[in-house]
Amino acid sequence: MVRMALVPPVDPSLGGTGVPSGGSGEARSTELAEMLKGCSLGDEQAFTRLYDATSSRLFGLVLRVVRDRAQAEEVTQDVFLEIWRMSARFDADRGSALSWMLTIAHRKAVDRVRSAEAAGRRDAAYEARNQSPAYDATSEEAHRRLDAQRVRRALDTLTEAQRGALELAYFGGYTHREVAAMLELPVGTAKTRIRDGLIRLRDTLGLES
Amino acid sequence: MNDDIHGLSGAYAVDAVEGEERVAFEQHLAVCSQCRDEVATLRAAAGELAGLTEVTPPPSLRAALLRDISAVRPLPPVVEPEGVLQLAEPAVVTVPATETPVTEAREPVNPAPDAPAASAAPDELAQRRARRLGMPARWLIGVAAAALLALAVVWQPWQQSSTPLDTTQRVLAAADAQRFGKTLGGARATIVRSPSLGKAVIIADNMPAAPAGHVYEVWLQHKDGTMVKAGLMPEGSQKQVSMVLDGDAAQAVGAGITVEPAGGSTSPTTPPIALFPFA
Repeated sequence: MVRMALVPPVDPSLGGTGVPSGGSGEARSTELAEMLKGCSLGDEQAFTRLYDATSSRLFGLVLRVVRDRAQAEEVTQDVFLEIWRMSARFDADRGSALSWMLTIAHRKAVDRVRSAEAAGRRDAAYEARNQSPAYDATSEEAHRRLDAQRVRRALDTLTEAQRGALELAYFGGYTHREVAAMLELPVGTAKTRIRDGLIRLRDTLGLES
Repeated sequence: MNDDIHGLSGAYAVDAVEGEERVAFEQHLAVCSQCRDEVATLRAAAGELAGLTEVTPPPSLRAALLRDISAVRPLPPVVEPEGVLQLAEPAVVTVPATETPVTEAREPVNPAPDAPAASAAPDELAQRRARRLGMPARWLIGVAAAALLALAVVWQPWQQSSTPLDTTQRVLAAADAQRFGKTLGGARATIVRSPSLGKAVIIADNMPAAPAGHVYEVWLQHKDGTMVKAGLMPEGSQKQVSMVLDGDAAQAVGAGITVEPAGGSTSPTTPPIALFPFA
């Protein structure tokens, strides 16, 4: 199994300007960390570079979870403001810069759908029937990307059951208990599938710490 | 290590653990480096999935952000104030099982969509949830949902102060000040005690409001196990509160926080939501 780079290079034709392309994932990860460092010092140009390098990934994730475009824009704006504000708290010893940013984005997206839910609950059964696999809803550009292929191949190594549970949790924004109910599984089963699926994905992508 | 709770690492990495369970898991994370490492690598794996859904945001978003950030001051790194004897995260205290208000073993909850913010408008669902969980549990959900990461306190008011120091400042600046911290969901509470002054102060960040008709009551625990009332925390959701505890903190062996009916109680009527052993 070939060890893959931690953070894949981003195709400069996609949503990015002014970002040095190429180089190893390791190097890119360092670049993002340096941009975050710049942000913590109030460097707005560093923020601009960081935004250009990562906005399509963060916005795409938020949009996927939130689904509504206008709301996704609001959440993404909030996410980047938070990244700017919290940039000094990023700790490279605890993971990559991109992973840190995606964690913030995912949390905020999930918070948005769950608070929307308090006002009008989603029909979980309907969602379960209509949830399409992650890669079907992928944008055309992403399809072309080697990187996406690599992730898709890794996702294909998961069992159907693991993939289903993981996608409902990550892209659907459902809790493991909700996932269990949607898939009519015992409560402990969904969390196990999610964990086993993530471990498989991590190991296939060569992301062991 | 608790195998059952350890098994939540994957769900936690994708934000699929909420409410009581999330609070319990975060308490576990504070003391289990193996789980922390696993969550970090699983988050990295989950993040790779975001590569499948890239969408370029509209230029208006970029413009709005570049306009907005100039008005937002980046937070400083976490630094420790000078002159504090015991530095740092005073070892987030391991919570014995009996203290943990809720555990995995709890009866499975419905596929509850977890509470958004404590401030969310009460609705039928929330009411049902509140009935099901009881008030303290509901509070915990609020805590769990509150804010992002708790921010460590950078607390050094005495450095600028030219007026006589008040009790809080004296405790914080005392040469023998000891700090005992605890993270509860998005909130963080720290008790600072100075045995020489016989006083303790509680500092809490991002505390959500207590449930309607309830308050947070702070207690000092004595050697014989009795909990003595040490004050009521200010009502409503606060970014940061600090309060001097009543009673002799030098003699106390610990402190705790409970949720009590408005006006407070003379002894705790609910399990503590946080305990701080002075050890």
